Amino acid sequence: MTALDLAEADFDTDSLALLDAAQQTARALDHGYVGTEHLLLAAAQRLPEVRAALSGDGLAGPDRLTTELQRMVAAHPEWSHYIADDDALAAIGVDGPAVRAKARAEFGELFTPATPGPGMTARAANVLGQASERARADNRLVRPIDIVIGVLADGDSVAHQLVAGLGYDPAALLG
Amino acid sequence: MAINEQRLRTGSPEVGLAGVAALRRLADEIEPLHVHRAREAGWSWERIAAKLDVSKQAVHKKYAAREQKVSR
Repeated sequence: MTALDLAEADFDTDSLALLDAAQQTARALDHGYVGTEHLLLAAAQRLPEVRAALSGDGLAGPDRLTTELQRMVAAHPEWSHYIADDDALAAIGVDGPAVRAKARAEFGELFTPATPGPGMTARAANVLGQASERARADNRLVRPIDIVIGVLADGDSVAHQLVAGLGYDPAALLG
Repeated sequence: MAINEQRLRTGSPEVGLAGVAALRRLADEIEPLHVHRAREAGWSWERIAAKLDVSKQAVHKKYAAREQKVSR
């Protein structure tokens, strides 16, 4: 399993690597959670097509995204108070991943966890869950680009705000 | 994530309340599975409601439509 404790079977190798990279990105920024913004930053660092879409006109690349994100986080101190569900559960003595593992073992595909792993925000989890559902409907695995499209399509996500704040139209970015 | 780990160790009200809220969300993830299992085993809404310690109306309102969708 990856550190994010996802239903790995739904994600291709590159997607799993992207999720690990997002966690590393969050850790490097000393953010105590993995949000849509970290998924986007990891994608900008790892995926040539995303990097090209963001930096094709010279306006933004991963470094500019990181700088803008740090500015946004500084302007929203409440974000740093975010406590991921599994961390909060552990703090009161409940092993969330163990409960989900038991549910997954007993109920299989009927079980759709709302929080796929330690440190992930509910919004990021939702994006991954939806990407997983779409891929399953198409009888394929989740690809990295599915994750990027998901984070940008969510108008309330920090990733969306991050890109919009830099002057891009998130919906048109990867169109 | 040194900052977060430090906060989690302090046993603050913030962390405890976040834990309670997360526990509710975790229950919301698990409850539908067991309601579904009970329905498949032929349990009535009334019996399920009694086990969950809620009213029959509440459990029916929450799950009836979902159960119809799953069983189609």
